[in-house]
Amino acid sequence: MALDIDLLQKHLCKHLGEAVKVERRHYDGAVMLDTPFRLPDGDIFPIQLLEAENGLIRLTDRGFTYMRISIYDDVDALEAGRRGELLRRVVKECRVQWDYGEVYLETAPEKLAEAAILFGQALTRIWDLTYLSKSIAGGDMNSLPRWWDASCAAPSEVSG
Amino acid sequence: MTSWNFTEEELALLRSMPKHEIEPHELWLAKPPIRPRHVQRRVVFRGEWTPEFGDAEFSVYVRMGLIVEGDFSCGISYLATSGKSLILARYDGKNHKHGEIAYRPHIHWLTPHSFDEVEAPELEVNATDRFDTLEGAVYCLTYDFNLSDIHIPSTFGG
Repeated sequence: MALDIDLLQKHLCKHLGEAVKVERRHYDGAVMLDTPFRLPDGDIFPIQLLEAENGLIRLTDRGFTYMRISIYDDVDALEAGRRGELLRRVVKECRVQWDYGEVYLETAPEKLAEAAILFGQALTRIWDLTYLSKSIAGGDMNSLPRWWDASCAAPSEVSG
Repeated sequence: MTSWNFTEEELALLRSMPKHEIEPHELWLAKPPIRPRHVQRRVVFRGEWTPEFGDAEFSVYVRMGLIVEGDFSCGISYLATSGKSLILARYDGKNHKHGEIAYRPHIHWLTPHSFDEVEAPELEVNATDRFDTLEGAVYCLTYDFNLSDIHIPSTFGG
């Protein structure tokens, strides 16, 4: 069967557009970016949008990912040893900031779509650090699974 | 495939057996210690002896976010003698979505159907109006899992 590229593109645009939206959280008025990025238990990463300096928008998890990791793992060990090296690698590759357990990224409003994908990818990769066994986390980088070599291709326009 | 496999009756027994605190008064810990984003606390309980589980032990965790209202979670794990732990339930605040549950408190429950072909058992989730605050969630956890002698003050420094 020949792939209908135009039709696939049409479906992709329609459903990707429906899967991501900006909304106001009802109980505190926070502006939230709703995305399909979720934890293995089905909870969706809450991504809050804040005004930043110079007309930029800040995407932030407000410490949610860090707190969630703390339920399953020792967060003191998250920034130490090999796990800490991997954390810093994700932060660098995904161009996010790690601010004492809060993850954020700043971008121009017109680049929000790219930033949303990059930010969601960063949160899921940080969460994935919990899958690393203590033996791997304490070993050398050569013992890491190959998928750790896959880096986020960060659009250069995204700042922060 | 997970090594865990419990029947409905066994899970009901784990929920209902009376549990008493055996490692009391653990202090709240600020995480990270510099510019903390949340505080956390852990208390260990021992269940009354049963033929099925002997002297079962449980770990109760409490997490309270310091940035966003409604950002909290508490839950209970069964601590197996093998050293592994299994989360039986988590009581989450309203700061995040879960599927169609939009910014409402919800409970993740372990059920016998949770153990299918997964590394970590999937928990079934229900929205709830039983609690809206961490205090309420801890109260529900205490009631649902028959915890006694609980000392989990829900304010930092308690």
